[in-house]
Amino acid sequence: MTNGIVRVGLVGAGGNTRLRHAPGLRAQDGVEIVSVANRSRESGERFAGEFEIPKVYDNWVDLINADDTDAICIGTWPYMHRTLTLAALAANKHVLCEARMAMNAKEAHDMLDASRLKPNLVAQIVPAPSTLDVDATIQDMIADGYLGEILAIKLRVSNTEGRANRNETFADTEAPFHWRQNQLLSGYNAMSMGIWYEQLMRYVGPASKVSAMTKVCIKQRLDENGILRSVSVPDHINVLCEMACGAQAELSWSSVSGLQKGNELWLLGTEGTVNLRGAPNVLYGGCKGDAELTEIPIPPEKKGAWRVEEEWINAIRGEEQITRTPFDVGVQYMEFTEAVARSSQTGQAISLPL
Amino acid sequence: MPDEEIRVGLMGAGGNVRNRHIPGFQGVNDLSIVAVANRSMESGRVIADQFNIPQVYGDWRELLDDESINAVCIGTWPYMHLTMTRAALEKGKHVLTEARMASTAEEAREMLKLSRRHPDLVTMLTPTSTAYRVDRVIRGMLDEGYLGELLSVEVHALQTGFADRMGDLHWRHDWEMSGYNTLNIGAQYETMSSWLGRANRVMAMGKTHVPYRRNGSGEIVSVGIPDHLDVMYELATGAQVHMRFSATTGLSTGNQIWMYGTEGTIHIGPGAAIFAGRRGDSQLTEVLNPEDQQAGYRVEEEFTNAIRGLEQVKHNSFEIGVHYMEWTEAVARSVQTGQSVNLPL
Repeated sequence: MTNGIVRVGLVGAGGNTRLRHAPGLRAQDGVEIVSVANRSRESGERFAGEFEIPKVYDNWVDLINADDTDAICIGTWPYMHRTLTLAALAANKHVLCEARMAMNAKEAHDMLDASRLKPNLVAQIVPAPSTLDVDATIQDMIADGYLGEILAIKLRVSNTEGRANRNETFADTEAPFHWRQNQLLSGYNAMSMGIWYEQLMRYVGPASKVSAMTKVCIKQRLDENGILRSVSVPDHINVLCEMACGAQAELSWSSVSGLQKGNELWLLGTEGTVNLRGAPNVLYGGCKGDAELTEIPIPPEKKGAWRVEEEWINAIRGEEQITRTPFDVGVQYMEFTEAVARSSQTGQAISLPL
Repeated sequence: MPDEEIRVGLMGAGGNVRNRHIPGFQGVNDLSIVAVANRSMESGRVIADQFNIPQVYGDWRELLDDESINAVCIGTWPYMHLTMTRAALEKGKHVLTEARMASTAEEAREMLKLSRRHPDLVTMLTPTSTAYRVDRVIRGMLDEGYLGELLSVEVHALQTGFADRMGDLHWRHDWEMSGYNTLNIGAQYETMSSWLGRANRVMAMGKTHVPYRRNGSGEIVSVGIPDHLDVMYELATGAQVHMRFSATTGLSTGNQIWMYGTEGTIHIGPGAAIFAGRRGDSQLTEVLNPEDQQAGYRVEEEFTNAIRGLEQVKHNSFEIGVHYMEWTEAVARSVQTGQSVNLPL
C-alpha cells in the first residue's frame, strides 16, 4: 500500500468479476484497479476499457510480480486457483480467490498451507452467496434452541447449469458443453454442491461421513468448436451425510429434474423444524405443539448482504477478520466435494476430514 | 380343489387379520373360518366370539393337526412366518402370510424354496395397501411412456410428529420380532419395484433417534431398529432413487413421491393426489383419479380364487417377497458397513 491506497490486479475477468468484484472494488474508498490479465490480450483490453483499468498484461505472471500491485483478485475457473494463489502469495500479494476454491482437496490444502506461511497477507475465498440474507436469523434460531437437538437435514437444489434456457427444467441435451461440466477446468466441483455445503456448514457445521451416488444423465455435449465432448461431471447427485453435530443429512442436486424449481432446505430437530425455500429466500418454522409451519420474518438488522470486496479491503487494512470465507472453510467444502466423488466412485462411505 | 369348501384356520389374529382378512374371507362363497390360534387361548377366544369362529386352539400346531382345515392365514409378526409356513405346507395346507414376508432374506428364500416343493398348494403374501388408490393411473402413465426415460426418483415416507423420547416399545422396534424390517421400507420398495423394476445397488444410512423405549412390563430397553433411514439405490435401468423414511421428522411434508424422466415428471403428493407435467409445461397439474376406477383390496378373493384354480397369485407371490426382503437386508447391511451392497444378494 502506498499512501493508504490498495492497488488491485485482476487475473481472469469472467462473469462474476464483471458483475461483482470490479464494481465492488471501485465502490471502496482508496482502492485502485491497476491491471488486468485475461485469457487473451484482446478480452483483457475490452474489460480494461469497460472499467477504466490502466494496464493490460499479456499473462498473469507479469501482473502478479508487478511492484505497483498490492493485491490480486483471482477470477479464473478453478483449475488455475492453486497456481495463481501460490504465485500471488509468494510475490507478497493479498489474495481474493473466486469460488469454488480449487479442483480438489489436495489443492485446497496447498493453498491453506501457503496462506499460513504469509500471516501478514489476507487470503479470502469468495463466499457462497445464496443465503446471506437469512444466515444470521437461522444461526440465532439454532443457538437459541429453536430446533432442540438437530436430528435430520434435507437439502434439495435445482440447478440451472447445462440448460440453454433456465426456465426449461427437463434434461437439456441441446445445451452446450459448459466449463462447469469440464472436469479438467472444474475438478471435483459439480453444480452448486460446494456452495450449498458451505452454507449448510454455517448452520450445523461439517459432515463426518459421506455416502454418495451420482449420475451423468446427459453424457455428451457439443463444445464451442462443435466437437462432441464426453461429460464426466454429474448432473444428478444424491448424498447422505452423518453430520458432526449428530444429524443425518440427505442432500441432492439436479439439473435434469423436470419441473423441480427452486431450492429447499429443512432442518428437523427434537423441538422444532426450520424450512428455507428459495430463491428468493423465504423462511418458515414450527415447534412442537404447532399445527403447521409459519413464515418467520427476517429482522432488517439481521439481513446480511454481499460485502466481499469491502471485507477484503478492510482486512487488508487490518480493520476486520475474514469470515466470508477464510481458506480453512474452503478446505472443508473441498474435502466434502472430494468425498462425494470418492464415495460415488468406490461405493463406500468416506469419513471426513480426509 | 374347485368344488371343495375352503376351510380356513387363523394363526395369529392381530390388527390386520381382524380388520382385513376376516371380513375379506367372510365375503367369499363356500368358505368358513373354522379355527383360530392366537398368542393365548384367552385372546383367541375373544376373536372367536367376535367373529363366530367355532374352534379355538391354544397352540398353532394343534390347529395345523386339524385335518378339516385346508388353508391357513398367518397373521403373526415376521419372526414366525418361516416356521409356520413350513409346518403348514408340510401339513398340505394353502398359505396366506401377512407382510413383511420374513425376518431376513435367507428366511424368505427358504419360504420360496418350500413353496416350490409344494406346487399343488397356493402360497401368497399380503401386499402393501399403500398404493391401491393410485396404482392404475401411475401404471397407465408409465406404460404409455409419459416420463420418457426415467432418470431419478425421490420418495418420502415421513411421519410428521416430533421424536417421542422414551415412548413405548412396539413390536416393530424389536429385532427379535421384526428382523431387518424397518419402518415401512419393504412396503415402499414393493410399490416402487412394481412400477419401476428392481434395484441393482443400495447405499444407506440410518439412525435410532429414540434409542430407549419402555416395554410392556415398564422396563427400559434399548432399540436396535432405526427410526430414521435414508436409502439410495440404482435401478437396473440406470435411474437413481433416494428414499427417506422417518418417525422423527416433526412438521415435515409427509408422504410424497416424485418420478423424473427425460420428458415428464409425476408427483404423488399427500393424500395420494397425483400431479404431472411434460416438457413444455410450466407447472405440474393434477391428474384425475376417479374413485370408481381405482383398484381395490382383494387379497382374500385372489387367494381363494387361486386355490380354486381360477387365477394365479400376483399380489404377492413369494418371489416378490424375496425381492423386497433382499433389498431390505441390503439396506441394513449398507447401514452397518457403510458400503454399497449389490443385488440380488
